[in-house]
Amino acid sequence: MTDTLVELLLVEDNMTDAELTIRELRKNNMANNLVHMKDGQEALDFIESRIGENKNGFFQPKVILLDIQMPRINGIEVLEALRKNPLTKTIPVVMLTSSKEDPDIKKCYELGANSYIVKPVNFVGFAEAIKNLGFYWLLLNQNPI
Amino acid sequence: MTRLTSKSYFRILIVIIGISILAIIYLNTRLTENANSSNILVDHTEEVIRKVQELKLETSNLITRSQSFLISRDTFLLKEIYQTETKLPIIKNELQHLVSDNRNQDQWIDSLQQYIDAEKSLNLIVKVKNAGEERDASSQLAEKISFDGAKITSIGDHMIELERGLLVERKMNYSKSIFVIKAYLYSLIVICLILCTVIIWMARKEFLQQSLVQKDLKRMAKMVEESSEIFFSRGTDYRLTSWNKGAEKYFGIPKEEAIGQTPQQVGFLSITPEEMQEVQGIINKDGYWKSEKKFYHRDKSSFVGSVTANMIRDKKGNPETYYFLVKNIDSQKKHEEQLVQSNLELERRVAERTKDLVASENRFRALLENGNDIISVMDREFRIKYRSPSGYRVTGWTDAEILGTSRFDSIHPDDKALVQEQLSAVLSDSNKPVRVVFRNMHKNGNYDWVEGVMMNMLDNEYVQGIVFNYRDINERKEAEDKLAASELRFRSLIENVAEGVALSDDKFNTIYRSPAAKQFIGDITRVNTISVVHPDDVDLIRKRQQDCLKYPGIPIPFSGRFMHASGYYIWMEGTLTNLLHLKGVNAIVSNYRDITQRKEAEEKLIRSEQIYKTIASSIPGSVISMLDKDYRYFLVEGDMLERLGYSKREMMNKTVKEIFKGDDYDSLEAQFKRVFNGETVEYNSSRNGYDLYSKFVPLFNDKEEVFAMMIAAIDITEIKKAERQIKELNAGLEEKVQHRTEQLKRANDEMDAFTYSVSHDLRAPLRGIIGFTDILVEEYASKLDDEAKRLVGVIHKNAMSMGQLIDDLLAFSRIGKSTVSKASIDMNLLVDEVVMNLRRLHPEFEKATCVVKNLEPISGDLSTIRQVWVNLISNAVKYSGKNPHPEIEIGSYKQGEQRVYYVKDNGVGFDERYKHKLFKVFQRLHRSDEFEGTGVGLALVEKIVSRHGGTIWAESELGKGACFSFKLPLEYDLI
Repeated sequence: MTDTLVELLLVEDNMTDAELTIRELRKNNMANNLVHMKDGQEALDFIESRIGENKNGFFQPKVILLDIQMPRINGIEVLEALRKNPLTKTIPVVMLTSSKEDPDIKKCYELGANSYIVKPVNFVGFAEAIKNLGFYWLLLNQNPI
Repeated sequence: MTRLTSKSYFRILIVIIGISILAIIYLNTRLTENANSSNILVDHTEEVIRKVQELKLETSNLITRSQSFLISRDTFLLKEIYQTETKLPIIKNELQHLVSDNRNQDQWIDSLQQYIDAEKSLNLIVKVKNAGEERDASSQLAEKISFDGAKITSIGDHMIELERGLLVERKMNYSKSIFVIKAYLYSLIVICLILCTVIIWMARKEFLQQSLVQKDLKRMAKMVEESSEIFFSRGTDYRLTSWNKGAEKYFGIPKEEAIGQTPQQVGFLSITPEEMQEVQGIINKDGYWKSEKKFYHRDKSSFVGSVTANMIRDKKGNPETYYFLVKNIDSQKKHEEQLVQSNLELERRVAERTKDLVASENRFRALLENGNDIISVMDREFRIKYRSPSGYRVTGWTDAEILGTSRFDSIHPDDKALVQEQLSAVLSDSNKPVRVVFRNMHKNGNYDWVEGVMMNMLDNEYVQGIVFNYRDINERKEAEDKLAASELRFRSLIENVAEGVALSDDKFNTIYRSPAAKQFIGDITRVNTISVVHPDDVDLIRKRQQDCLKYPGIPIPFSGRFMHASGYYIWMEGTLTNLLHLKGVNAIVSNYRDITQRKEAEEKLIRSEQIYKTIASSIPGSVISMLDKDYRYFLVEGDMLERLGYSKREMMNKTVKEIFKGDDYDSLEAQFKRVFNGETVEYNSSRNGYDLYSKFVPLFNDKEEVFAMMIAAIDITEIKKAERQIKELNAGLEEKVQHRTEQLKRANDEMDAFTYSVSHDLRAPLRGIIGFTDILVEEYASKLDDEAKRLVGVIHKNAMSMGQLIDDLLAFSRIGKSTVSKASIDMNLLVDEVVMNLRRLHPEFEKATCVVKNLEPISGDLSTIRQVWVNLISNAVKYSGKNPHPEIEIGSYKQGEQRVYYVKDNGVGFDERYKHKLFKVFQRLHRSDEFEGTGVGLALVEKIVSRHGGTIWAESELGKGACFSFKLPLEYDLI
């Protein structure tokens, strides 16, 4: 696993949501280089280990999908940690939230999140959002480095 | 390295010799053993050689005999041959046995085997015997024998050769080992010899020393024996063992008589056996004993001797002999005593002298050093030769700085001429003291006044100088100057002040008047004061004069009318002070000033006072007071005064500070200051249960200066009480309202938080349900029959509607929380946009006709107002959906300062009886199988409208459509 290129890192504690997200991404052929982390701590550990392994000292997935509400270290804290570290601060991060009313969204933008997706109850809507997102970040966006 | 004794040398020697002998014995044994084993080997080899030679001999015999038989045919020979043949194997076997340890020889023995074959030979011999004359057999035999014989001989030679080689080798080995062992032996002997030599050489030194010591000992013993000092020794049994010449001489007892006796028996020492035991104990313990004892001569004369005793132990460490050395210290003792006596006497005399000397010196020193007087001695040229130590303290110059300099150097330039003059007087007349006063420079640069006497003692043989005895009179001088100055000052003060000052004697006859006093009263001198006092005031003034005499030093105030020289009376006020006792004054001092004008004004004032006093006292429920610049009451009136607990009597002529003490006064004083700066101040206070409203009013004189302050206070207790009651009532109400509001707010907040979090958390499982249902439909459609598909559809639909419900709830709770902005809104544009969007989202909208009339603009929060339109219009679409020709009308109209907007449809309408439930959350007037919905939409609309300060209402007739109207104010504050 360590040899493979990680293009997309999904950090989501809700297994149902995670499965749906992965399924949708897979359907659009975008889950080939996906890694799923089950909470913030795991995600940070993973990123750190990848940085450690990499000769160039940085880890550059195409996008991180980051759920806000998570036990232990939540999405906001993960985001903050990523942005603080010069090696990870340029990684595009898209926040996942249950509601667009979430007051945390504003905070995420302040901390430098690139975008956010509301996980709508309507799965079709969610699938569409995931699809668009994956398409944009994985296929179109050029990383700054 | 520690020195070895001869004994240890001897021990080392024995050890070395012992080791050497052992080594030699061992090596010798080895040598013998080696020789023996070599001999055995050599013998063995020689034995082998001998056997082989025997074998060879027998073989050659055999050959000779067989040849002889061949020639002679003698059967005897045949018998010989036979015998020899049988011998051969025996020899061979012996040989074999001998060389069994040598494998090389074994080979040869083995090869011998084939040639020594007795049986074969015997057969041939028998054959020859039987054949008788047979030639062939004989020659065959001879042939065989000679052949075998040649072989045996040659093998035998080989063997001998081999053994010989062996012999040589063994002999060599033997001599070699003998050589090695001998080498060891010889070197050992050499080493042993060297060691012995070294040790003996070293021991020799020791022996030499020992013999020297022995010699010394003998010499010393001799010395002791011959010594004139007393020396004797005794054993542990107290019997004397030695007795020298000294002892013989001092004790008068010959050696022969003393030896073998105890001291008591000899009688040169009076000592009891117990004492002797004790002494012995001390020596045994400490190793020596020292004392002074009385000893006796045979002729009974005695002397004191110092005894030193030592002890020698035997080899086992037990005491053996005690030696005693006695020294006659009789004469020494006597000398010592004399010396001590004379020393003591000497010391006593020295101490006495010293004491006298020290006392006189101290006296003199104290005189010189601590006195303020300085004594200096100068030569003819006025150079300082000596100066007493006090000079440093007074002038600051050290001796080093001052000695040798001219006395003139430190004299003030102004005083130099005078001193010079006086000095010449001193020089001209010896022994006549001359008083000198001048300023002398201190080290710090200041000049100090000094005063002193100079005397010419140049002719005095002990002094030979001018003696100058002087002291610092600076302080005195300064005090004198000050006094003169202060007198001058005071006089000018008295002469120049506006106040009159007069001095009089104890009868009050004036002896001095200052110019100001003269102005007041005219130029009259030397009159009795009473004579000029107004008759009405005479008693009062007399009384004051008596007081004045009674209390010396205390100023006694007075005021009264005095007659001017010109005959008219003036008012004067002042003090009398008895300073008769004060030296320099010795008079009664009176200070006074003319107060005639003030008095007149006062009288005028008193009249006008009467007027306003009357006014003040007649105002009901009030206190009027007036204060002068010192905040002293000079008027207090009003009926409230007593009720407040004060009285006119106790307040008059008192300051405010005296009446109102403490904090109260501080706040008042601040106000007073403002008043005296020309302000009018209002002041509320409460005293004795009454509430007072006061006005502090400044009173101005002609020059617009504030000279006094009026305080007008009125009782406002009743008013205050009423006010307080109202306030209390209000406060209670407000508190209640506030309390309720808080409760409400808390409940609202809790509700909002609850709704938000519940909705939020409910979404997650819903996503699961819907998501996986969709997957089921999409990916497993082929495996589901129609009923299953329908059931999945039902799940999906229900989950979706729950999702909708949650979204609506969220939106609803959000309205309560979110901050709303205020902007002017073009309702036409907004509604067009909303309708367009709804048409896109709801296909059934297509068949409806929608009429939008001109809409009035309004100001409000755009996003929430938009929500109002969305909900109302989509409701209209939804509930008119069952009409084949749905019609929707949207419009607005003005109503005063408010704007009314409405949405009208021709749908199913609602039952007016349930109208009150329309805008409540979760309240629906239709079943969801008729019309879908969550029951939140209208509640949300109502909330938005009321937040904008507006109202919403609806009219309907069942089955004939409904009309929803909402009214918004043009100007509003967001609630």
